[in-house]
Amino acid sequence: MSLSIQARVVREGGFELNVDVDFPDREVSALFGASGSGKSSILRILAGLDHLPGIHVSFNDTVWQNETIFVPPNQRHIGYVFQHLNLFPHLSVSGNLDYAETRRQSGGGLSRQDVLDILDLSSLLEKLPRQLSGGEQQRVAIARALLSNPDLIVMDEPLGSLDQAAKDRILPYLHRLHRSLEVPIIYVSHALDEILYFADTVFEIAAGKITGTSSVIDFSVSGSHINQPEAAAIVSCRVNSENEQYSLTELQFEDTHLLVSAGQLTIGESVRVKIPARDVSLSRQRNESSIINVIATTIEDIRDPGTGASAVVKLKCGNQFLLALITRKSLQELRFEIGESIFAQIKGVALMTQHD
Amino acid sequence: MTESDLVSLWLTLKLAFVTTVVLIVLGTPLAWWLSQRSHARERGRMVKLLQNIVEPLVALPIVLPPTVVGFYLLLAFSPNSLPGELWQSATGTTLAFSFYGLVLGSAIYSLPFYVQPLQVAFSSMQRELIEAAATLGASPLDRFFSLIVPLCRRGFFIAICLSFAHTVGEFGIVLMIGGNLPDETRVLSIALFDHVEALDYGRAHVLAGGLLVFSFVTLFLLYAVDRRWQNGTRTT
Repeated sequence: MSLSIQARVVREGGFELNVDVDFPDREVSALFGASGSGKSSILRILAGLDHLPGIHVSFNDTVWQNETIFVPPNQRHIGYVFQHLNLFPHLSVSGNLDYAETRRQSGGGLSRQDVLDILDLSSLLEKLPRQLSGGEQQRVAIARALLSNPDLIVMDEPLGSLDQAAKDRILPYLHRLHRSLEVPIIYVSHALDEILYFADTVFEIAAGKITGTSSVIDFSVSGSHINQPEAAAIVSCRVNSENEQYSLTELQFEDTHLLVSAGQLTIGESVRVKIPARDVSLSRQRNESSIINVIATTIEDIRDPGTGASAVVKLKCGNQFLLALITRKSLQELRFEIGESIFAQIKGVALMTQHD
Repeated sequence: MTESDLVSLWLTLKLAFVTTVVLIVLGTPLAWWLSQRSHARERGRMVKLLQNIVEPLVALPIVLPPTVVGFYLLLAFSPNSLPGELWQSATGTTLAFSFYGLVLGSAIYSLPFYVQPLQVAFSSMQRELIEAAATLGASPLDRFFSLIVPLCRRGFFIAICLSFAHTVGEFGIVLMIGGNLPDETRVLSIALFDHVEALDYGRAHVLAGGLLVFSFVTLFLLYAVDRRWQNGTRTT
């Protein structure tokens, strides 16, 4: 599959969108940028919800839009999840799902039962949308998009109107979904934690232009967002062995290893691990400590914003990087320098997902 | 009620029914088209201009005396004018002083009572819902019947009741373009006028009282149903 968009659009008010993107196959591609940067415009163009001149969109050798062709949104087979107001208020949850299922234009895909199981909706079927919480509504909206058996799923800040607690509850569902689907997902968000949790490839967008494309592993440790409090390094590891005595799994990370408390993993498989910057502290000696993951690194970069309480130190370990959020006070007193060898004490390691 | 009054009653109901059907068929797309102005970013200037002209045109019958509308319709229906001539060559009858002339006049005169409530309902539709339905594979016509009609049912109900009731109560236009032909154009309001002119107050009371009760019951039901649907479809 290949999905490409070339768009040069000048909107009322002078906003210009100028992008030329090819989205990767079978992956979660995230569009990351501030509000008003043009992320949603790209999705709307992609789905055919805005019909503007000067745009080329093609998907799998099918032209969706060029100078002469415009395929309307109902013929594009895109599962679209909006930020809010997704559900039809006059239909129950079950009626909303039926709406999609009766209009699906091709066989295959996930069955209704699969979708209900993945998103845990079986108990909500008879309810009306207004009787659901925001998080439940978004789960139903995602389920409905899946039941139309789309060739492509796009999500426009699907968690944007939810509070942190609701977001934390729904993220694991998205995760399970990603693993059960074979279609590409394009995910728009301005929230770093969602991108780090969910994306495979990140397209950074600012003022209507794509300013960077990278794997989530590279994205997580470079760019101005590493100074955000929710910054975290995403690293790739291989499962080494299980330590049943302590219920820990040993992961091979470059030439060292990490211990995580994770359940059933297959020895030898590749996993992605998220290490939040605020859970990493730095030490010149290997101290006696309750922290079990202490690894030798070198300081690659120091990001001192010059104000505020904290600075970020980027650490190199083999070919991968970690981030450490430390106070500016420690930075000054301990006089860390680029190139220096240092121990990273890692307090929190979260297992993310299996990947190829 | 005498037989001629019953004929007038039947004629009135027939006129109101046919007029309402005509309005549903023609007024619904018109109301939809007019409602698409506020969020039509990519629409051309010409369309906007046309909407700016059509919208007050639709509302005109609210402020104009019905006799004014009737006068111009009468001129248009005359076999010497183009519309009247076309009608005559197509059907062999004249449009003026005929039932179908009345339907046309009533439809024009009741147009704002049908279009405006519906236009308000259409404009308040959340665009995201229609877009969501589109991405789920629903064609424009499918979206209209599966989503817009049920979500705008209050608007449809009010529009249909108002245009039906308003046609029942119409007098001035009928007098101008319909005249007073039994079984053809003598509707209740005209029959009432006849009785009053003939000083037959007994029969006038039956018709006047009947229309009064009908109108009250219609409005009473309208408000009752509206209140119930309003409670039932609150969306937050």
